[in-house]
Amino acid sequence: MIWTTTNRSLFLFLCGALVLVTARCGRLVTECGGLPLNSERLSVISNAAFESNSKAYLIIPNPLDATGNFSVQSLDSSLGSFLDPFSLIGLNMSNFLENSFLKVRIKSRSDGYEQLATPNSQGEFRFSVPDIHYGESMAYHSVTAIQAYVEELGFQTDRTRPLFVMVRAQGSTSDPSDVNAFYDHHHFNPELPRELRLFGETPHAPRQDRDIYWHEFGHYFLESITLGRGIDNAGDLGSVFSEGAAIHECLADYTAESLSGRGYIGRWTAKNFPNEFPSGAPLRSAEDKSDSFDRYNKVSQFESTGANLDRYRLAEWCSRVLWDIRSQMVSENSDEGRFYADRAIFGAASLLKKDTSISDLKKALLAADEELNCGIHTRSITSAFISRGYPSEIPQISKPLNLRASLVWLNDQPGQFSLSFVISNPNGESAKNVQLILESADDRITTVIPTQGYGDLGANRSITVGQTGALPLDYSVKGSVDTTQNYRGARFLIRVKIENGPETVLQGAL
Amino acid sequence: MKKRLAGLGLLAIVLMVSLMVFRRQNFAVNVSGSKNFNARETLYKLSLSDKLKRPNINFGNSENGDFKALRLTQQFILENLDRFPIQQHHRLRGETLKSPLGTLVSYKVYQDGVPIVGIQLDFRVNSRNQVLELFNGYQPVVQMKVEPDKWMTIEQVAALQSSSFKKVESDSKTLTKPNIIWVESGSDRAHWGYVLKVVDLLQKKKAPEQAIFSAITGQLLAREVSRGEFNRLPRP
Repeated sequence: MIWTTTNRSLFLFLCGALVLVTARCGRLVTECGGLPLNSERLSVISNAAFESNSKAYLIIPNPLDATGNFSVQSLDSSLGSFLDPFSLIGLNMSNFLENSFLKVRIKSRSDGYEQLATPNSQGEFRFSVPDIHYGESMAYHSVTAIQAYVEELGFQTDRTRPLFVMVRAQGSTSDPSDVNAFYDHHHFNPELPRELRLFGETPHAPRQDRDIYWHEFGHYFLESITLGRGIDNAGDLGSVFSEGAAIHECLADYTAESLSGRGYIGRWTAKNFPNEFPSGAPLRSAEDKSDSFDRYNKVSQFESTGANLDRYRLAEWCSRVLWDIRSQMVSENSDEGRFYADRAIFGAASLLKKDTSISDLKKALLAADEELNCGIHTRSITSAFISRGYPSEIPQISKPLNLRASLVWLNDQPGQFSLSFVISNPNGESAKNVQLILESADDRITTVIPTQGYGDLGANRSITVGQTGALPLDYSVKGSVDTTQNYRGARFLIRVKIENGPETVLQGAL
Repeated sequence: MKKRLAGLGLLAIVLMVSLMVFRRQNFAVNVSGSKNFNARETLYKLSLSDKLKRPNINFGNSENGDFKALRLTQQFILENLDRFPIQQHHRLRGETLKSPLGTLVSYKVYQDGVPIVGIQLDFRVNSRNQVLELFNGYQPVVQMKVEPDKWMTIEQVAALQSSSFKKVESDSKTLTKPNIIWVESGSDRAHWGYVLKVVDLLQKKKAPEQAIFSAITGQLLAREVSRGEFNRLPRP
């Protein structure tokens, strides 16, 4: 072909037109989509297949899940044959289970090194399951493994303060059957380390269960990626229920469940509650169970018994939504889908606001998917919520909720007061995410528990707190005054805030 | 005709390049609804007069952070002082964390080295150096006067609270003055505070927790609740 001036001009014109059309209608690759993941490395880490000279002998994730024996207890002599070696990474000194960030202890931060686990002559941390040092080994291995995983996904974790893990913490009561695990981020005091405390000395002690460490790490991780801004500030300050608290538990459960590849958590620890959980049943499940946790309105609607003010109910529903999203991504890509799901869900978590809500979580998931995956999961994310009963459109209500409240001085806590109240919904639709907020309008009043949440309030239903037969004052807000000063006449505001309608505001005075 | 076609082709290329630049500037996920800030533009636009107008905001040094993200967010704050009325007596210390959605930047606030708890600023700097505001919790809290003769001792606070708490003590043996300034949620009301370890008189909780008491009056200001694996709720 003769490359004439005419042809050249025409060629240039067509090129320009083609690029113009592409730029206008298409999407530039650099505009969306996260960095590619190193799936091979993630697989190694998620299987805890580290290389290290230091090893601990453990039954992963716990004796019940490892053996499939629902009757197994930590004292069973047969468990010795189930111990397997696992590499321990990042140890500061090979003699103790700690590194520059993670410090494993038994009772408290001030435990002397002479009390702690040390390796045998082969450099192995090898103990029987009931031995307290076994718990220390499980703690170190579990936390370092999951931290390595989230960091490989691209999430740097906050190491400005160390994390202490107490595997059999000291408490104000000494009842060994009182089983629980707590995470303290210590928002108030920047000088304090983060703390994870496990309690209980039973045949199914929490310290022997990797699920517990991974769930509690999930709380630390969530605070880390949200920069401690308080996605559940209400709960941090004492609210019994808030959607932020439920989301905190939901994401902590999801973190543990997703990395373990099992859609449930805590079968070992649930053995401590035989009246509440059948043998072998988990504490909570992200997989479909066709039970009351499958539908949003079963866990979100306020009931006079206060049953749905258990944050774990909404949390379990939420974890099923996330599991549905994860399952979709795994079905698209069986090798790497779970990694992309985790990255998107944790990425969404990092966008959550202070005192977040389920509706915020949904928006954040869509936003994270838009930025990391070019929005190709918009439909499946939306469907995951709708299929579990979350409304696609939330109807607005026109009338504010009614509020009648009276002041109650707390006799056992001088200088502190609470509110006894009735909130009622006069509308024909549910009020979404009802919150009672106490605000000080006077320097003489400080709000100690400024917010309480109550979930969704159905049409023509009411919430009663602080009256005979109703919920106790633990479910109300709380303020305090300096009793040595004259606080008479000090003013405050009470707000009832909802997501889908106008606020109610009352003024009060002491 | 030939020249006309060549000219059209050139125009098409110019239009294409312009659209690419335009689309890049407008694509950003803005979670909070606030103005997107293209740091690249501001770097080029800052003039000498702008620099002279810049107030003296005290940005503390972050020891190990993403310095580019810190610099970009600091410029963002300086260019949006109507949204961030940072007081002269406050020092902002920035910390960064990397994430797949960019670098997360948080500024904690201090007065004379004392942390002000309850206010902070959070941003995200995405892969294209756009600064996105995640959370603006800043309050223009007045400068807290340092008046040690008005401060209670920890022992005095513990005695005042003895009818509510079995134990009130400090984690640190050397604490002799308030260790934080506490800002009440949603307000600019601030208090000199002691953060102390407490155990309920009624022992409702299993282990000690942290509480803030006013260093001036000894009254309870706030209490930090631990996150438990299970719940044991009070029933009607």
